[in-house]
Amino acid sequence: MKIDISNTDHYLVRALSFTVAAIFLYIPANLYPFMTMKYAGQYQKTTIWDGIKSLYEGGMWGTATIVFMASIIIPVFKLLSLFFIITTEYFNIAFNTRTSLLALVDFIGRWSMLDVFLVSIMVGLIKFGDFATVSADIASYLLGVVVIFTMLASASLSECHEEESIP
Amino acid sequence: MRNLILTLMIWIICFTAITFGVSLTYTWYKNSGKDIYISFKDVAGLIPNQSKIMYLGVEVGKILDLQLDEDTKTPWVKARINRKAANIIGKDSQFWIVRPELSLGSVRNLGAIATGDYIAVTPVKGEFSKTFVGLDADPVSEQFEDGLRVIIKSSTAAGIEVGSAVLFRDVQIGEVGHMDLSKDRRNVLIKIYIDDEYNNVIRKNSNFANISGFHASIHLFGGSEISLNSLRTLIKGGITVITPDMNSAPAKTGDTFTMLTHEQYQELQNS
Repeated sequence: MKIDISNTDHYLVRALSFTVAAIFLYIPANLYPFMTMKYAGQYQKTTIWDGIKSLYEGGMWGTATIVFMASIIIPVFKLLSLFFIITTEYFNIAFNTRTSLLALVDFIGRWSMLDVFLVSIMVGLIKFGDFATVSADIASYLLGVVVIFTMLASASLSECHEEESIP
Repeated sequence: MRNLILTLMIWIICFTAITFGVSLTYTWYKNSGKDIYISFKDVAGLIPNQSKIMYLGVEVGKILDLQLDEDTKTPWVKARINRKAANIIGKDSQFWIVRPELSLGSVRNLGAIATGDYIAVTPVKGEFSKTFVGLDADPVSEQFEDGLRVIIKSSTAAGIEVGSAVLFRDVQIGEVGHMDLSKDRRNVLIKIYIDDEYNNVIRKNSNFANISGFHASIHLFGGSEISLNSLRTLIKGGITVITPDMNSAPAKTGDTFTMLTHEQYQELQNS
């Protein structure tokens, strides 16, 4: 038995699976706490939205905006763009828009790791033994996987795009 | 062919991730509850994210946040009721803070020393509500919930307070649940809650007497006398019940009795 599927279709299926998986992991990443702060015997779990809110209420609206951009706007934009690219690729339309969007997604890919960096910096900085510690929680791992999946999806799409534009 | 295997593997990995994400979301949904707000006069002893809402020792919710109301400056408790327990909270549910009480008059809720203060709730069927007004004190021990409730009319409430014991042959059969002035302001209406088990002790012809504190009658000639009932009634006050005829008709909830004066009480005791 010989299954004949073109290379572009392979790349497209891969990109689609990565994108769908990223969406399904992005939902719990927003619901679960991404950081646990232990302070003087009490511990507080913070979700991404809680973190943004407390940053804003604490007067650090600049940082709040950056975290909001990095962890909510950019991932959502990225996932939507990936869907758009996959659909247009499938129907083979809007070639130029697709190309520039793909370049943009590749470019912002490196910035969406920002809150994962934020947590790793906090974990490194705040370690006072039993008195105060910060540790990464499940949502930060989920976010990390989401970022990796979207990057893999955009990589698959790039290959697909190249293959299409060569002939 | 290698391409196909790679695609399949990626597909399997992604499918696993999707299943994981869905199960996580479902767990979150199942564990999430309904948020309610309860206002209290004083929330000392409650700790956000740690103190619980309990019903009969079972956790039904958790306290998320304590905050002061901007206008009235009274504290608010934000709490999350577990999804499974949400149906026991109705809009008439009562909330009160359980604190360990260790005083001369009574020793109660010692368990709260270890667990920390918590909020207790009475279950009520009915539509859900988001805001509640918490009680300042517990709404009378739950053991008296089903029992008889009678009112005693007295000219004074000297020595009696909410929580004072109601004694029959020096055994506690109930406690004072509520006190108020009568409409014409001439009497004190003391509502007592009798333990279900001892309902039949109160009959239509029962007499009630205030035995709070101690009574001293000092005579210049002929000897003095000090009578003291018990340390507990000395400190927390108490009402004693005398039922001379156990064959009399039993009292019903809402019946009103008149408190004996001290002289009447002594007369009754001597007869």
